[in-house]
Amino acid sequence: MDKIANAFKGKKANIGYIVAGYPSLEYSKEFLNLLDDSVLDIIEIGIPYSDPLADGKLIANAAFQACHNGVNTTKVFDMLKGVKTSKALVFLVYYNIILAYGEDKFLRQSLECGISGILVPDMPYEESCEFALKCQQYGISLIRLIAPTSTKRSKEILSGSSGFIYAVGSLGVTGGEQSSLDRLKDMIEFIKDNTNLPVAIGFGVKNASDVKKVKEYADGAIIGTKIVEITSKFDPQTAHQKIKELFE
Amino acid sequence: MNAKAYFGKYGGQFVPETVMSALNELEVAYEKIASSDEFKAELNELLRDYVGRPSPLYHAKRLSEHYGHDIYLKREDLNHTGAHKINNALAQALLAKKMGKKKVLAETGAGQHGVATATAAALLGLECDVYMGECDTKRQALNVYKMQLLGANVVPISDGLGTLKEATTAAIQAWVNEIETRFYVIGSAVGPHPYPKIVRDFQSIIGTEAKAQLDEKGVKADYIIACVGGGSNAIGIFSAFLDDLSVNIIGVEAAGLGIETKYHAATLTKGADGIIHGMKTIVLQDEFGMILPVHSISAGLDYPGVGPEHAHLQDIGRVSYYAVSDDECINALRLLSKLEGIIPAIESSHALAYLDKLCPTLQKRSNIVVNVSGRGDKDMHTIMDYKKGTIYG
Repeated sequence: MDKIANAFKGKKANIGYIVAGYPSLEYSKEFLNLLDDSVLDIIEIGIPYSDPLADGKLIANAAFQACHNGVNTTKVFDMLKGVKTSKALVFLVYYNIILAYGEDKFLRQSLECGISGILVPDMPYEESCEFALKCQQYGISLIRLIAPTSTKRSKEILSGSSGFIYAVGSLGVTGGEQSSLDRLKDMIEFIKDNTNLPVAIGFGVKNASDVKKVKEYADGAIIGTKIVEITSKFDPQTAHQKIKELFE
Repeated sequence: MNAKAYFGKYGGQFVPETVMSALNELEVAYEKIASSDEFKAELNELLRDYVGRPSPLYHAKRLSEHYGHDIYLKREDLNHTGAHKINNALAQALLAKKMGKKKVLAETGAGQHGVATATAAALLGLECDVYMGECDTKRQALNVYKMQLLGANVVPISDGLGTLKEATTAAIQAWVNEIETRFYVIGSAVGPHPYPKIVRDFQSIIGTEAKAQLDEKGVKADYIIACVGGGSNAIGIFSAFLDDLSVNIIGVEAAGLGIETKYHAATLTKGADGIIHGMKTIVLQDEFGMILPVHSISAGLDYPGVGPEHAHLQDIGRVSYYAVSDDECINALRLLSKLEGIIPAIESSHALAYLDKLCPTLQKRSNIVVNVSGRGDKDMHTIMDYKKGTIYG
């Protein structure tokens, strides 16, 4: 069974997000090497980008700082070569980074570094069909996002997804307020009726109370902004402790 | 892939999933509302009585004498608010109102699109936020005050260099936050589909008028020249001439301190295929896809991307794109001011500056149309303080 499916097996998954190279590449490597003892089941690794359209201030600033410190795609791959974990690693990466690196080269190196899935926040279904085929060839899941506004397009999005479904829990960039519970429940219900893949909710999930609420109707909860904030303040070991408090 | 969203291999919709519904809603509304006779009549009346269209096509006699060729100026600088931007901003704001939106937002570089959007919003009774890079709020302080006077809320953005790129990113992020209630009035022929097509269509009035005015004068254009940042004034005038292969079409970008330096905004000259602000186009970026800082004396051309149709027109060889420096641009601005009594915007002066390079190479007396996309009032401080080699932004 692949690592992503394993993360949802018999339990609700805890999913976290970090910016690779923030506050430093050494920090990221140490953080990821502690994953097996962490409450996290899946970790999204954001490759820092200069123009992150889907991100709020906090994550965008972390990415800018990492870029400023010279972090780039090659350095992220090099860092990952020193990471050992049984947990699922997925990339969150803006499409221009993949395009500049070369799709095949990017996917090949991702596979070599133990990446199980890829999320591309600025590549909607309509633009991703060819890339999805390539991901399939490399055995890497292309995790698609569904928003409360996806409505008519939701079935098409679901039909081409793999790994898990990333349900966008707020109308806005990362770090914003969650959409109404009714609206989220409707979205999750629709997803469940149309796919067997697990569904996790991200955007607007900030604390243990949000996680508890989300897990009532979804298969996993994703925390991003709050974890990035924690990584800016605490050493990797302490950060994992703090993250545990967010999910329990 | 949605083939309608592309110009050759450029265009598309590279946006967060949350935005897709708004783009689809816009596409449907544009096809239904903007093509209706009622919308067209209302817009045409506003363009005539409020904007002051048609803008004249002026035969610049002293400039023609200077260059030894017949130079015609399409006077978009005479539009209400001082630039071509009002054509598109008014049309999009009217569309927003017809779609039932009560609030609009916009990004702006030189401030002309911000002023145009604030003007249209005031006229149509819409709330308006304008995102502007902090650096640009300083070099275009007069336009900031105008927007505020018109009732708009100007949001300064201090990220990065504090110029048009950062303002556009911030505007898109703000739009995502209110995706169901806000209409994003994009100021150039850029962004995700259907914006590049909508902006081109709304600006095509420049070319349509110019063509008719040339016919009226019994003149056949040999060259059409316009400046290119995002490229809305350029695509607006080019669109009417693209099918006539006897017309040479030239776009002029900002070379800043020179394209051999890192201080320029010559995207089509020096960029590579990439993604920026929701579109696949040519982008100034590093080998890892990070968008590079750009430089130009002109806040309106200070942009690391370009409209996808321009990228395509360069790709197929229909339009030639060149770049002129800050210094060449200022010289052209001074020349037109002295010879014709017209002070053009710094943006438009890039197009005028290319006459220096083109005219000496022409074998026979030619008819050249230059789009004077805006007037220079907003640029007085920049021009007064200009020193060769100054780094802006």
